[in-house]
Amino acid sequence: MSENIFESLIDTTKMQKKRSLWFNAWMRLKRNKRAMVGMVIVLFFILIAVFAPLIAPYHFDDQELDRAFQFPSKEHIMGTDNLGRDIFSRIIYGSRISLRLGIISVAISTGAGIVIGAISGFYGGKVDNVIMRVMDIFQSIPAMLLAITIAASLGPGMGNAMIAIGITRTPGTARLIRGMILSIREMEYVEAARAITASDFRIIFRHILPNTLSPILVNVTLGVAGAIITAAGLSFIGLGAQPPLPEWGAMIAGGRNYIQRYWHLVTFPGIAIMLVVTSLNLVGDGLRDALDPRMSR
Amino acid sequence: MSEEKTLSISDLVVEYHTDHGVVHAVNGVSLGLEARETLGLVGETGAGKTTIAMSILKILPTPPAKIVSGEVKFEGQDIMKMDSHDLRKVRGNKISMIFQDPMTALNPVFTIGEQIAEGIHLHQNLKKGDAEIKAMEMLEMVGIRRERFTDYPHQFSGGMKQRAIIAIALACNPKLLLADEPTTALDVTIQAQVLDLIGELKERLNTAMILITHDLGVVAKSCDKVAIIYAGQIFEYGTKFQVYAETRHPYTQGLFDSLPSINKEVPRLKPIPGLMPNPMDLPAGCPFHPRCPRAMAECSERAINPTDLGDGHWVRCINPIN
Amino acid sequence: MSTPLLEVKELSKYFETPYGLLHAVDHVNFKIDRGKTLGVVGESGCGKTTLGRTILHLLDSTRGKIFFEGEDITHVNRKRLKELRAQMQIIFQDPYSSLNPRMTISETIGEPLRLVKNLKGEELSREVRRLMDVVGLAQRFINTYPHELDGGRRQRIGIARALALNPKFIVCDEPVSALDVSIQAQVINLLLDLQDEWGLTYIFITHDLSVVRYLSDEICVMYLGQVVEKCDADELFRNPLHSYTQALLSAIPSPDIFDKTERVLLQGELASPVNPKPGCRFYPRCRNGCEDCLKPLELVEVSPGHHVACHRYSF
Repeated sequence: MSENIFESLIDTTKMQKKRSLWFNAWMRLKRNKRAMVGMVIVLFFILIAVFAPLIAPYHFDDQELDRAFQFPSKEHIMGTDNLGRDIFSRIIYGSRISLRLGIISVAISTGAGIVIGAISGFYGGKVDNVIMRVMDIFQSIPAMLLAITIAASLGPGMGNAMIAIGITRTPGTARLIRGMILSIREMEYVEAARAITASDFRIIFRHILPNTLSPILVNVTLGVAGAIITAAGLSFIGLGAQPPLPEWGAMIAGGRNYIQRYWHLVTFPGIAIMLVVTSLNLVGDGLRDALDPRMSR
Repeated sequence: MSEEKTLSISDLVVEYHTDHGVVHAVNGVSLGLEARETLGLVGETGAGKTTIAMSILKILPTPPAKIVSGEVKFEGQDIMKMDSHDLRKVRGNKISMIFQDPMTALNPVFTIGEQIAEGIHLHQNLKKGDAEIKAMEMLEMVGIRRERFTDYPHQFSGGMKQRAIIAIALACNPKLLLADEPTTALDVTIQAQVLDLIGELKERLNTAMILITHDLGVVAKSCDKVAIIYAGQIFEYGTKFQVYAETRHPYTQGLFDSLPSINKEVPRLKPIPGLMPNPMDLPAGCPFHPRCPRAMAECSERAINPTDLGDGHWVRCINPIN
Repeated sequence: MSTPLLEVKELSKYFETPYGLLHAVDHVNFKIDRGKTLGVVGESGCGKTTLGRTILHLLDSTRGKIFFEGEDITHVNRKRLKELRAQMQIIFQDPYSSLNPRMTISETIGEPLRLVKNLKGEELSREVRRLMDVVGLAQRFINTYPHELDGGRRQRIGIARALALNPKFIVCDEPVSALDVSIQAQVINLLLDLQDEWGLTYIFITHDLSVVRYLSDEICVMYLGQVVEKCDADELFRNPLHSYTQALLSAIPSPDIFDKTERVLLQGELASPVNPKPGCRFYPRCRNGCEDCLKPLELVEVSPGHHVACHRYSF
């Protein structure tokens, strides 16, 4: 109630300056300290991923067995693993793999989710019913189990892991988009578009989907975090990235046999996963608040 | 002042501090309300009507809202200086509020009866059972059958929801009722029923009321005094007769001229030119002067103070009509 | 006599609901002559909005016929529908939800021009500017987004969009209900000026009787999907016959403080339009009801041009 009045007050004031919706959202996001911390960390990891070869002191697969299991030192700030590889370098290279895994699998699920959700939501009726029941079946299987099943049947490997995670995440995204479209479809501007002879295609892509962008963006950010965790899990049980690739989950898997004596083999990749995932979640939550001010405060 | 007024507001100034600047929502409003009196607070969107009502209950969201100055005295006590404990004793008990949208003002997971009884139980130290009996009486008083006591809000139509909200608001015999556009969301025939009901109950319970509305017709039907508000200032104040029949402020006149009438044939409506000013950047002097047909040079040069026209009628204009 | 611009015969629109058939629009008949305005008045849920949408084929009709310039357009193919849509437009109630928040003013007004008239580039932008001029929008808003504008200006954008295709006929669905009084008068005057200049024909749907009197030549009063009274605008206000019309008229709070007319307060609220019983739908709330009211009834002409659906007037 109070928020409405407040918004309407601001509303009448926006006449002079041209400010896009995104600019306003950015202003709100900037005030959210937690989201900004998250964003800084995420950007930090992205930079690390991009400039990995310049930052890393060693190559991720430089093995020197005579210096295996070294504890953190000046030379190897995070120590070395069972094959004498520099853990710091591997984590730096690993950020490339984890981020890529997360982003590509979410790209798959978002793309598929938009198409499926848009068809389902816009046309409704039988089409909607069939599609949504199939999605129900997918969603009734625990996500991790489904990912494992798909990844196992496709065979181990990065590419297959991305596909498996992508498929696993699709039903949730499709459902989100469908819900959005169901509500936007009833808006008068969609009716207005129909009255001026816009085609279904144009209505979906020009009038409906652009208005679902903000929740999609939130979903993507949170999704990347989830996908990174799932990918780490798959790698941990040997279905994701294959040795010697320094995927963080795979690094934990490789180090778990030595955990009692050499804690640093699993701790640093664990921290890396935690940092990236937490920061992405913070950014995602912040975006949600910033893009839809009515939901927060 | 010999007699204590139910409510007296003096020089209230409220701002909203936003990313884009400072919104001057209420700019020096002074009002008095005698016991049992009904005041119509009339203004357009963004005039600051609701902000005034929320200041009276001290329920403004702070931040962004900021009460810069002013006093709100309820039965002689300054609400602005009350702590949360005292406020709770006043809100919903001695002052209660009816909101515009009956659809969202009720909690969907409690029955209508529970929601009416809750306030009685909290404020009047009645046992649950006694509170429920009182709640049933309230329900009948607003014209809803006793059997509907255990119904949930979704089983009620819009008009009945608003009746239930009125029952909640009046359950504790408040001294002051703030009704914020109570009938705007309702159909005309239902609006007529609800207005009649509010008027009748107000009489019976000796409640004073501030009726916030944009509808001059609603005010004509149910108010004693009228305050016309624009850009956070009261432009004209007086009895209904004074404001309607002896209109002095050009803005008030503009509002009347904008209304299509069902009784008279008007060849063409005379709208007020222009738009509401930006409350972040109000024009200097009288905020209405850019739209005013009677504006003079002086209007933009200095702040305009109210002029007393006698008999409690006053106008904030240096070039009033007549 | 020339053919009316629009005529509907026995037009009905029913919706399937889990509880039964909802009679949103039930056997509605009327004609509108070129350049005239038909006011459609009723409270929420009386089917007035559905009526407008059905005429424009935004909803499919269940029964009845629609004629536009004498042509039966009840069932037309896609191509003809596209041509017809250029001539029949709609202005919406809510200036907030009727504009796509992600499109600038010029994109919104330009969309019909691009889709139907295939205008591009300079020509398109010239036409957009001309339309903005027509509805009184300053050129400086051309690249703003709807959320930066107030309700009155947004409503002008909606009007410009409807005018873009040079329509002959516009359904105005409560176009001023969401606006402030002073802005409302501006928009009403704009609609009247446009009617004069462009020779437009309107259906003006509203719940506000004072607005409808000011704008309409003829008025239909609807109750639960049916037309209960239909006549000349002045006649309706001078001599309302149906009990519902009388109640509706007296319920309007008049800003005239000397107006001491006795108010007729209606008892109860709207009944459900799902599976209505035959007979008068207003009967449960009517103060003049009798047993006859449960029999089926029709709209009858009681005096020239004055139609009413009430047993008290059917002899």
